[in-house]
Amino acid sequence: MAAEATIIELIGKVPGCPIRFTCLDASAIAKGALLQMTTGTIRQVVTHAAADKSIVGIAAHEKVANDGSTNITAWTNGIFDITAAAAGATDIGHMVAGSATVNMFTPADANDLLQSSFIGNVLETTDNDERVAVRVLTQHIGG
Amino acid sequence: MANEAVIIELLGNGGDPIRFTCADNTGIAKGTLLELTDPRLVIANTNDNAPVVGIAAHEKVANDGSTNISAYTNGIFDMLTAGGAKAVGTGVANSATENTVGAADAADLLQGSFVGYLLEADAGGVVSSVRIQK
Repeated sequence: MAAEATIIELIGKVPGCPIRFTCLDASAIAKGALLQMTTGTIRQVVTHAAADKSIVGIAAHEKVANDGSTNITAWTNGIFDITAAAAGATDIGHMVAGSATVNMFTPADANDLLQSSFIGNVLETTDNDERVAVRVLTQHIGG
Repeated sequence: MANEAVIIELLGNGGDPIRFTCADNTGIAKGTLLELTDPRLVIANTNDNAPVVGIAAHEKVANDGSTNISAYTNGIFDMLTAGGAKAVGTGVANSATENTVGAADAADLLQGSFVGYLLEADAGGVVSSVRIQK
């Protein structure tokens, strides 16, 4: 994978407010990967790879394929460096959501709020393909 | 400034404060609603539809040599509301009047202007408790 998110600051009483999810033993997930819910399963995540998927957080550790583990922890609260997609230019403060490109974001629209595809708010004005600080607070809308 | 937000309850890790930068020559009162400007620099909010990041956790005296200020991002605060009755639970966003929040719309969510939810029915132009998590 590439363009994984990197920590600037973990926030919350338990830093980063980590939440445990399940994943397939066969899955390989890099630390810092954006995690999306999979359909048809309960509380199971994979590396983000498509737009309009529910984003739950950022992988807090590496998951090696076929290592026998079926769990991965997601950070849900913090500030992270994340890369904008090729069409990812965003005004400062605007909400961003998972794009069609692995681990990258685009400006969020109203549907992203309803389907939980949003990641957080950018803390700086963003150009296409730029890596910027994002206030991540997944599964929580705006205020 | 006037009408700064007042803490009712800090949630998370003491209000989950986040540090932002600010200009040394800026004077910011404790409790001020903070507006985000580029890059990761905050000012007292005076612009409607601007992104907001939280509530000033401490006083920043102009020209005191400091270029940092912390914002509370998680808690319940007393805040002044703009005119117009609002139902309990209504989402509120910033306005062009400092430290005053009004009813939010969908655009406020996307542009980061959303402040929180009213925890009480509000007659408008009064101080009401607001649940904030930014």
